[in-house]
Amino acid sequence: MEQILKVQGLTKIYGNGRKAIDNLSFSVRKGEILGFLGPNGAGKSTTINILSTLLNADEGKIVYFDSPNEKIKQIKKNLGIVPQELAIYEDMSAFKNVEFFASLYGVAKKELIENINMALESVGLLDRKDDLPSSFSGGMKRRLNIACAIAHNPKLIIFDEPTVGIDPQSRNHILDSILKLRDRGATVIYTTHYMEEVQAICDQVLIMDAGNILIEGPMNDVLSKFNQELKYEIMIAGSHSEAIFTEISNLSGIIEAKFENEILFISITDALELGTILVLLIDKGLTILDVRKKESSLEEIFLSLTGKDLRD
Amino acid sequence: MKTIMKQDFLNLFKNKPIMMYLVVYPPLLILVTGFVFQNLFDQNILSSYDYYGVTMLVFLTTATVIILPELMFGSHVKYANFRIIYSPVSREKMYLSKIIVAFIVPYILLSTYVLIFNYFGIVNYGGNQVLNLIFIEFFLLLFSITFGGAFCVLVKNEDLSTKVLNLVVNILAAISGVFFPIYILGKNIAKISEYSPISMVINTIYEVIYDNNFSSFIPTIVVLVGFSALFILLIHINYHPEKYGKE
Repeated sequence: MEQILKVQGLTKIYGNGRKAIDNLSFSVRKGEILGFLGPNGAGKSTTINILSTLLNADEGKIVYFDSPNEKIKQIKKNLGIVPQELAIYEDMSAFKNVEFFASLYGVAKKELIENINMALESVGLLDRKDDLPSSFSGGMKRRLNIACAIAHNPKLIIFDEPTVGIDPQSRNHILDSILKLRDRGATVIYTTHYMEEVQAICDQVLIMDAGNILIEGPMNDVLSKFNQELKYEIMIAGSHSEAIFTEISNLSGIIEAKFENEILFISITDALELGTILVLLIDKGLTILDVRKKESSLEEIFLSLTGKDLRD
Repeated sequence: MKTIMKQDFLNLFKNKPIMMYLVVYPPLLILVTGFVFQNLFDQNILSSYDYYGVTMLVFLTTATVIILPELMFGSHVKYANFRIIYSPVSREKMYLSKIIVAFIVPYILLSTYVLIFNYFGIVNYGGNQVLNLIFIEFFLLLFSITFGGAFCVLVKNEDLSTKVLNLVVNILAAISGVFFPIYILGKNIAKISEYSPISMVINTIYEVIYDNNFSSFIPTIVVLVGFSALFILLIHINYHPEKYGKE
């Protein structure tokens, strides 16, 4: 599959000698959505600024659209950037906003109207195209912010926290729009602090911190890597002694077992062990109210990789 | 560049305080000061309208320093301008468009007022030689616009720039004899005021209008052009809209 972006050994050192990013390498293939994650100060913004051609790297190489000798102007024509800020003119209609920004990319006049309508339609603003953004809700402005970045049909779209501070409806609409853009052939890099969004729409995930990649790969692979242990929560009722739980802890295949607030938390290596535990509990006269399988979410993986210390 | 210029024109026309300043202030300021201070002047030598017609025009031109910061980083346009940097349009075209628009609109409006006041004999802007004044006005305006832009890209804050620039212009105007003839404050103060660029322009204009003396004309223009070139260079080096994107 065509590689839309190939980053090799990217390094950026700031004036104070601090490496904002250190030997970063990753790639994105056509039609993929890459969740680009990291805590504040991880080097995400620096990377995004370099990918957007606003900043030069000190070392490393970026190949856009499988064309090693692509000119900057041509690269920019095929990039769509959705900035975190609402980069729109509030006193100009939604249509005029999209028209202005699309015109900067040299979209031919005969295609312009069609492209604008398609961009507005894909963010659900076609019926409000003649209205001023100053009359829009926060979510609608965010959607217009996206429309302004996609009307020139970019091959690669970078979303920088596009769902900050908006209502769930707009957020869902934005996520749906991104999936539709992918279906139409666009490739997406998506940065956010909302892990559930990444888990919902991204095929690939990259987590970085302190300028380095901590983990990278297909979403399912990353999730399964952190879910090799089987975790269950067993809700029980009835009188019981600590001895039962010591007995369970000593069973083969048990990695961890702890009991808190009438719930038994267990980590096991094989699902068959679950049956043994349940039989033991029933034999001891306990009532099992509920059994739930627990999987590590992307957020838990993120926190386990980057730590829980507060960041600036 | 045509697309960006069109947008910059729209942004300027939609900026009510600046348009009010450019459309309403010039006739108001010239007529009011001319009327209020007419008793201070001997109408047979130099009328208050002739004095304030020139000084207020110079003051209004100098005060256009705030236009370019507004077009570059005004709260209504800052983030939208920030997005343009992602497009294939060059950074040079971005700031040149804004300089051109910030220059053209005030130049047309102020020159129109000069021609009207001169034609109807309200202010003596040189009579048949009025084009000399409009010519020097061109370079003073270029100086003011580029000074405002250079200051703003150095300070990196439109709000602070506007406040400081307004203060600087008002102080310069006061010590240059814009609001009253500076010799009232004594010879020494008058001597110091000669070093002000505003004072230099005012004196040059008076020399051209009343003495048909062009000895300062070219030197004044050369100084204004030199500073304007320096300011444009500073803008070129420091204009990076992406740095103003995040606060």
